[in-house]
Amino acid sequence: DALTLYDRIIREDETNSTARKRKVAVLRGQRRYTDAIKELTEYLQKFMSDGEAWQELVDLYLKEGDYGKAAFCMEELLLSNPHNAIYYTRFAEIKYTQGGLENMETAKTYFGHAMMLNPKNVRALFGLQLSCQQIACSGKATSQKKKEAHRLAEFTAQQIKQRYDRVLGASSSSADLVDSMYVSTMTCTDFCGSRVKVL
Amino acid sequence: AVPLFHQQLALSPMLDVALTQIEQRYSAQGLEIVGYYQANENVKDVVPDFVAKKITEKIAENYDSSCLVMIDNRKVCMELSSSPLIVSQLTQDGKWKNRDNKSVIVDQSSLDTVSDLLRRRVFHEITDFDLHFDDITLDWANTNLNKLMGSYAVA
Repeated sequence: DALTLYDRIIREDETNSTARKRKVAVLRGQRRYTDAIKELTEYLQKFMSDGEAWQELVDLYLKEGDYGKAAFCMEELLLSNPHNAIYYTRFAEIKYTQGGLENMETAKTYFGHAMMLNPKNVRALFGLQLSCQQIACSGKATSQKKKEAHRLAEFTAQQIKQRYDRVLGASSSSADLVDSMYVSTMTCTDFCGSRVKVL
Repeated sequence: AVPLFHQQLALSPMLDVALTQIEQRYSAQGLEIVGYYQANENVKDVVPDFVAKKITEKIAENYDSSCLVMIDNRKVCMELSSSPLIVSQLTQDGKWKNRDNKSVIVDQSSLDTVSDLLRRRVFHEITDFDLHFDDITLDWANTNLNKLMGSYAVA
């Protein structure tokens, strides 16, 4: 019933953005994610600068597992907000999840940029460490890229250790954590690889 | 049980870091990761999505009887009378099968403890990995909360 009312409001006033967004929210609440995506895409064709709507669309695409389209939406957000470290981190996470050498290198670049914008960002630091490890272990990367990635992976691992040391007090647990990050490389590759197959 | 995220679940880097930290902390105590639980955002939705299945499949590679536990949000209330957990496992032919409710035993004292914690709104104090990554001084192992829950068992 709410949907019928919203449709009527939209027919009477095509510029009513609130009604359209509420309609998307109703569809999401009904778990009609594909319809919500369709409605939101149409909305964004008319109201291209609505950052909140782009964020919602990223969320919906990730729910559907459509990483490619989610990445595209993140790029729109980055264009309009080029100083937002969170957006860079999120975009890098999507690229990392997509997997593959090219995406991993993009992820590494964007995690790095996020770190420059906000050096306190722990997610970006972890992301940078993981993506460098992935590149360092990749069968397809050139040996020079692998060396660079390896050096950066070690550097970021030390940075992570230092931060945890400050919090936990210098103890073996933070050293163990850093070591286990190296061990987890194989797990990462499997996870990303299998995720790409799902797509 | 360790809470992971309340925001985007479908992204792998932070998940990898979280699982690594969990394994690293608890393997010294002889514990391992044996399952995954998820509560969907929609109250009526109890179907595991592709993220839940993928993660539990990954766990199943290291532990055969890994469980995927979905929380039935409709049953979660301040006076729990029955278990709100729906447990499923991967069969040998790669399909997900729900375990019969009778084989999933949650005793009343646990339900009473959870009901009391809900009434006291203790859930506001839970730290998950999302919060931990925003501020690494926050403890994702929720040691204080676990002690609190332990005190219920003694009483």
